[in-house]
Parts: sequence; C-alpha cells; structure tokens
Amino acid sequence: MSATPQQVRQWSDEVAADPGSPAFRPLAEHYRAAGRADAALRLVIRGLERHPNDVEAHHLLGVLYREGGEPVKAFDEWDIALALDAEHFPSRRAIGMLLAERGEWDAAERHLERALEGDSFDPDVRALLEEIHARRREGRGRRGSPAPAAVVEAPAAPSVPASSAPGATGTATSASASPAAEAPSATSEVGREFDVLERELGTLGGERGIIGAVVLDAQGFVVAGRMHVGGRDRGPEIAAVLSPASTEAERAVRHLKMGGWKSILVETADAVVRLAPTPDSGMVAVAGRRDVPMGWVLRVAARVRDAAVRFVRASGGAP
Amino acid sequence: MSAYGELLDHVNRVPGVRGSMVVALEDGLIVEEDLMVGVPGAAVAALVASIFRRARKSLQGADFGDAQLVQVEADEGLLFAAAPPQLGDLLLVVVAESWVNVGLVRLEAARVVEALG
Repeated sequence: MSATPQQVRQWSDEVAADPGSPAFRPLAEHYRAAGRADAALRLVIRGLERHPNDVEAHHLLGVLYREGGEPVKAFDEWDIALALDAEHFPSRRAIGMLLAERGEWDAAERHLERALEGDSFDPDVRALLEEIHARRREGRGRRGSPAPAAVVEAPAAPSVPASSAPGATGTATSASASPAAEAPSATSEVGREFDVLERELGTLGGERGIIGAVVLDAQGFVVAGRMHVGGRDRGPEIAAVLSPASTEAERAVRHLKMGGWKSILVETADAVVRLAPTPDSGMVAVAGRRDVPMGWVLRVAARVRDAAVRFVRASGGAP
Repeated sequence: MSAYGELLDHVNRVPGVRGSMVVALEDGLIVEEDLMVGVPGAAVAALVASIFRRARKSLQGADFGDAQLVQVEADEGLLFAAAPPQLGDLLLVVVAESWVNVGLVRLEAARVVEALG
C-alpha cells in the first residue's frame, strides 16, 4: 500500500526537524517506490549513521544497492543485517538469491532453505531451490556414469566426502572432456600429489608442540591431515564450525578497506589455532600447544600452507 | 572518562592503532568506542563478535578450551579481539595498521585490562 500525501509530509517534517528520526526509513521506502533511488539512498545512509543497528535499514540499503547495480555492497548490507539479526528472513532470502545468481549453489541453498522458515510458501524461493536440486541431480548423473575406473583409482581418505575428495572434480572434467583411457593417469597424478601432501602434513603435524594440521576445501570439508585431541581426530569438527569464520573475516577487512584476509589466529589457554587461505578458496588449519613459542607454531603453519598450495596447484585447483 | 574509555585511550596510544572498541560478545553491539574517523565501528563490531563466537564454539567443541584472543590479519591491517575475564561478556576489539607492533598492542591491552580487574 502506498503512503498517503499526509504521511509523506509528516515523515518529511520529522526527518527535517531531526535527521535521526526513525521516520527516515518509511520515507526512504516511499522515495524508492516513487523511483527516487538517489534520495532514498542518501536518506538511509544518513539514517544509519544515527541508527547503525537498524536491521531493516541495512536491508533496505542492500535493496537499493542491488537495484543500483552494486551487488557486492548489497551483499555486505544484508550480511550486516543477518549479523545483527540472524532471523531476518528478507535479508536471508536476498543473499540466497544473490548467491544463486553468482552460481554459488551450495551457499545459496543454505540461505534459501533458512529463508523458507520465514515464508514457507514463497514461490520464488521454492522455484530456485528446485532448480538448485535439479542441477545437483544433473551433476551427479554426469559424474556417476562415465569413467568409473578413474574414481576407483582415487586415494583412500576416510574423512573426505565424495564431493570434495581429491580428484573428484578433476575426474568429472577429464571424463567428459577427454577419452576415457586418459582419465586414470590424470587421477593417478592427483593421487600422487595427495600422497605427497599427506606425507608432508604427517611430518609437520609431528613437529614439536604441533597438535595437528588439516587442509580444508571451500565447503569446509577436510581434504587431508588430522588433528588429534584426546585420542580423537577433531579436524572435521574444527573445520565445520571455524571455516565460515573466513567469510566473516573477509567481510570485516573489506569494510575496513584492508584488502584480503591473510590469516586468523585463535588462542585459548592451552592451544593456538591458525587458519590461512589457499588459492582454491579453501584453507589450512594448524593447531599447536601454548607451551611452545607462538613464533614456532606460526612457522610450522606457514610450511603447512606452502604444502597445501603446492597440492592445489599441482592438482589443477588454482592457477 | 569511563574505565572503558581509559582502557581504549591507552591501547590507542600504540603507534599504528586506528582505534579500539569494547563490544558485547553476544550481540556485537558497541559498548564504548574510540575510533579514527572513517572506521565503520558498528559493522566491524558485529562481524568480529560473530567471528569470536564461532571461534569459541569451535575450540570448545574440540576440547581446546575457551577462546581468549582472535587475531585477523589482512593485507593492509590487523584486527584483534580479546576476551579477558576482567571484561566479563565483553570483547576488547582493536583495529590497527599492518605494520603495528603486535606484541606491543597485546602487552598494552593485557596491562590495562589487568588494571581494570
């Protein structure tokens, strides 16, 4: 329902008298609906200076940026809205849609499924989720049929899910693009690189004071390595929870115009964990005990990252 | 000046520090801030608190103990978030240039936080 002229006048008067008035938001909505995006943008930015925790205003600013052709800024605003209120379904939905446009299907699916909790009958969200599911089925079908021998040759790695196992992607690509006879040798090459990586991680993980080292893929699954605490490999648990922190770190440093993130260091009374990105959007995590000097742990962590980068490059995961 | 204000003032004296904040860990809202102009405090506070909560959950789950400090290193800067027991459920967040003396920031933060307790 559009605002009446009296309402618009009242909001304008309130904002004119006090730029911090909460009326800035409905007035900005009105300007947006009237096609005056620039005026709406100015109002919301000024309003947010006074109300930096106004979730709806961050969402509206995201919408205005999106409509103005600035998806990165839009993403940031919706992300802030979600940081302030994880149950803000319109921002969740908007981020899901944006990620789907970028082709980041897994992340899009996660957001869209949560958005459905807000409106389970949202036809656009349901249609997009169906499309994502269909793409996944299609991809699975393509991967499943040709060159099964190549998959058999992949090295055994118990903690690696099928979708992220070394060689899984390469197998699908080579199987569809080259003769089947070439696939096993390409996979064997990746397998050899994987063996090298496992050996290097085993050596570095056994260094003085090091609890363990793992290489993670872009989805946060463990590709190689282990991190034993109390007789159990905690690598997958650490990876699953800590991996999304890199997205938040990236966003925080982008807000501060600090370039890209290089590492995240987390300290407890007993341990220090260092995360660093790899060129394929994955990362490495290294944990060390606090009873060895921090500089030593960081030095080993740097060597683990070097080993992971060599593996990623050799297996065609990044230029 | 409040006790938190004094804390931030001391930390900000370290060369290379662009500002600091005391932030509520649970909701990421700023309790006290002393930042250079142009540093987007609210957004950074929300994101850093979220990183810290995630780190804490992850490391507790792996039996590594409570996260006490998170440091994010970027191409052109550093972010610290410390949760000393003296601050209860609050974080001390520091925004700094990449060339800052990390050890000095940590030392100064620890010194003033200890004085608070």
